[in-house]
Amino acid sequence: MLRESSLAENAPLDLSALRDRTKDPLVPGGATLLALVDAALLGTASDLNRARSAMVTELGHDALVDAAAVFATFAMMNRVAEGTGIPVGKGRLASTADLRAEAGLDAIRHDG
Amino acid sequence: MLHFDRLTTDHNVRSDIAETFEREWKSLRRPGSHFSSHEKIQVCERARRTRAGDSTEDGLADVTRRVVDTIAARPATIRKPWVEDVTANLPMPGYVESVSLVSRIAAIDAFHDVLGIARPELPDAGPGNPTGEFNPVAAPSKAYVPMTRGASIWWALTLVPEAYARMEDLHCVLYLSPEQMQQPGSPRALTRPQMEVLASRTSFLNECFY
Repeated sequence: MLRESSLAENAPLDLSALRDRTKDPLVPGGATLLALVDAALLGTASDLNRARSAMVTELGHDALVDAAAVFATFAMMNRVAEGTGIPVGKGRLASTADLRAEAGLDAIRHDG
Repeated sequence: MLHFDRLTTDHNVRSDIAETFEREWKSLRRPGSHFSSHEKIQVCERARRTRAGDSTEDGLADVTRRVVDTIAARPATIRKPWVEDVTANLPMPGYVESVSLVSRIAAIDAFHDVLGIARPELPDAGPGNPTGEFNPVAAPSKAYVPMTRGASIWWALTLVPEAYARMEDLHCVLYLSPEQMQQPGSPRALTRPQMEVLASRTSFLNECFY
């Protein structure tokens, strides 16, 4: 979906930034969004305060609220996917092989 | 009466988000399929404590504690044999209801945490016994749990109608509806690529391959 939406909006995208935080995902505000996720999952309260302020400065308060909402959705859906064991179909695995390699996502595969 | 008014009045949060959280709190005051309202709230309390590293004993059955702790804090460790093991003692509707409850409270807490807003206190329990309701159409699938329409993340919780409906409500308001997901563009303050970069990094750090 990420690559499709990027293509649909004719926006550049570096998927490797999803695993390598020294890189910029090239999506407008992308580095700030990734910093918010990292602060929420890996950082301290101070890190999260800084990330929140950067979001408001760069993208605005409404974007911060929607970022919190997206983050919350995936806190939920990741648990639903793991708890119910939703498989990734063979077709989808084949069609996303290049993307997964670029983003380094096979490192977290455990459905096999 | 409303627990979440302060989100809109004090924190300038979209009213539809406050409203879906309000519906969530009302649902916690109703009995579920396998759990009473009191037990649903115990599950949510347990999930919150477990994510904070507190494994204090409580009134939940051992198997329920095991399920809640794992979904709350170690979801990426879940495998089919583990689910088969726990569902030998916890009926499958109870397992699905647990997945839904623990996942939903994780979402609501995460939303508050990211915005730096204190997490809401859980509601007082409402009356009534578990309904025993489940969808008889749900069938074994390639996933770990029965569901309708084949193994899809969207239908993952359909064995228990309320567990599915609450997840759907939160997903549609916090993220997008299935119809919106099929369309290009975004009705939110973030563009679709921005939303999906954020979602992808979150899933990556949560070690969720799906």
